[in-house]
Amino acid sequence: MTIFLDAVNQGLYYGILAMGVVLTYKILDFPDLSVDSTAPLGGVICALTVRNLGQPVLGLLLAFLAGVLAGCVTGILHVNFKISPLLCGIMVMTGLYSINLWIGNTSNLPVFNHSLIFNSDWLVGGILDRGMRTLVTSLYQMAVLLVLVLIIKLVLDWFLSTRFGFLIRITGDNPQLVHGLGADIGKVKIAALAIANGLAALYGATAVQYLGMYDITMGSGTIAAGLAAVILGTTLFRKLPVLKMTGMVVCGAVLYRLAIALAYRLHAPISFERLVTVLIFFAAIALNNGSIKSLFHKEASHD
Amino acid sequence: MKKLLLVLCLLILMMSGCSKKKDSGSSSSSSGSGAVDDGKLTIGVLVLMEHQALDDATQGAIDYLRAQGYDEKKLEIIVKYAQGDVSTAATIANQFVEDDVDLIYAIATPAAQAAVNATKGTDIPVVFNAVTDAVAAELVTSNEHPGGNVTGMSDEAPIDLQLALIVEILPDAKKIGMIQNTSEVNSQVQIDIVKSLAPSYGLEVIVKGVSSGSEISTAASQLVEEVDAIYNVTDNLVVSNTATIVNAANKAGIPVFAAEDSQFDQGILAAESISYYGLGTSAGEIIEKILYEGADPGSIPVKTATITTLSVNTEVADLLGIELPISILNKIPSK
Repeated sequence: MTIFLDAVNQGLYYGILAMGVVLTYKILDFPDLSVDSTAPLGGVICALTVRNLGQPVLGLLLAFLAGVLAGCVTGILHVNFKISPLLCGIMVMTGLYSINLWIGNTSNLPVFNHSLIFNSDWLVGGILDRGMRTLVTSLYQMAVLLVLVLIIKLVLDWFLSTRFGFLIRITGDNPQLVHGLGADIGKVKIAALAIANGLAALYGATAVQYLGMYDITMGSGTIAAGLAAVILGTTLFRKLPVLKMTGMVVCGAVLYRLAIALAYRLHAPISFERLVTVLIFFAAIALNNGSIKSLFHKEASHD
Repeated sequence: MKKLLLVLCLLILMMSGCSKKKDSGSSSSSSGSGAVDDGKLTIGVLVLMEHQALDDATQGAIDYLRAQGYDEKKLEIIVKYAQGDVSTAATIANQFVEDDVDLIYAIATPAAQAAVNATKGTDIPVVFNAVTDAVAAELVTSNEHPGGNVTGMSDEAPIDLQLALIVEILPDAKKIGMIQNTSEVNSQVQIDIVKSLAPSYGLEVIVKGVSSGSEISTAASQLVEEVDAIYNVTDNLVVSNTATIVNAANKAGIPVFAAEDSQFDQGILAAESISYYGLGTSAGEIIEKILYEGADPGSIPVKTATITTLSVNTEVADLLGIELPISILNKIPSK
């Protein structure tokens, strides 16, 4: 049970990342690779805040702000210097790596001995049974994550429904229209990138608190995980419009982590876990869009 | 929509189904004492990534425990690799806790940290390996008295012995080059030690930082133009890419020394090396003490490898035109 809860918990903080990635990739049509470094940027800033000031919530806020700044850099490179989206992402991702090392002064910062948003000692201190303790701890972590993710989702939903949010949404589809409305398309793009990278950094900060450590390697593969969550979410949950795009990708992120946890749970042969993860993805998508059924009923559907 | 629910239910069923199977396989999972019921114990081995040295550390411990007579019937050993991903390391560590393993053997710093974080509030001991500075990683309060429920083996190499070896083989060497993986804390710790010791051997250290395997070739080919020898520490990325470094160095006629011998055959000139297999064996002894002799992990000091083996590749020496001193030739077993 705890494993299931743990995978959902990890999925929830990956959901924060997915909400950032959906904003750039799906809404703005800007595949932004900078998240590979803005996630550890948030992580290192949060780790330092927790270690030196003992302020886990402040750590999340500072991480978000740092991510916003980094996103502005990506945006300015793209808008003011006319650099292609992929290249901007690569530049920020690469350059920020050094900055992350410089900020942390090391590549690994443990935080598990410090005060964190997930600390539940006050809650489980009296529970003697070990299984019960881990269960309550996981549920408490889930509650914290649900609150965090829900706040972000609602704020983002609201933001996308404002006039400015509307501009962001149409920038991806129809840049001419933005121009026609007399808005500065450059500013819209920079703002969207800033928010997306702020969210990626917030994901990094939350992950650091959940995992109890910051390690610079946590950044590699961030964009891949984010895209997997976005695509899984928007494919599998598209028939649930009530979730909105943001909710869909959070669910996608949860599924993504569930699939990884399942691959390990199934005792896949060592080093085949990744392949098994992909097979689980495939099964989920194929089952959902009915392509498996149509495979078996090919003749029937043709006649 | 129904299909979606079906997919979700399947996923959840598979996860809970599998965990049930596991429970009945080992013992009742209600509490730690349940494991003693049938006398069979379980160790969860969490390895950060697939990599020769880390595999050796894993195998050393397993072989030791099996040789002591703890066969599959008495001791179940589950090995899981985190593919270098810290979130996955946490997933595995949490699965071990859920399965109520009797001990977690965690290999490499982030894996050890994930294990310690996951076992918080439980009585599952953690034995780590391939961690260079366990105090800085906050796994233990001090190496002599770890405290808590955690102890293990440090892979800090006897750097003074290795620098002495370089000077012995290359008395005229002035500058040694090193490649630092900036994303690995172990690498930084060792290079700081090398820098502090080098002046007393009359050596200057030149370091090139890399963050991924693809940068190593560039860093190595720049390094060989500036130095008399290259020295590889026990850094996961550097060790994995030894062939690239050796290739660049030997092309320029520069010898490569190494702190450990898992990649020795790739053309390293000499290594006064620690053995990860040996570190694994020592970790196996610690695991035995905790599981079968009731030792308290917190009072078992964190040790480093004390025994080193000298390996010298005479073919590489000939190739590079390096004349090995008699003192070295006397020390290596004749082939």
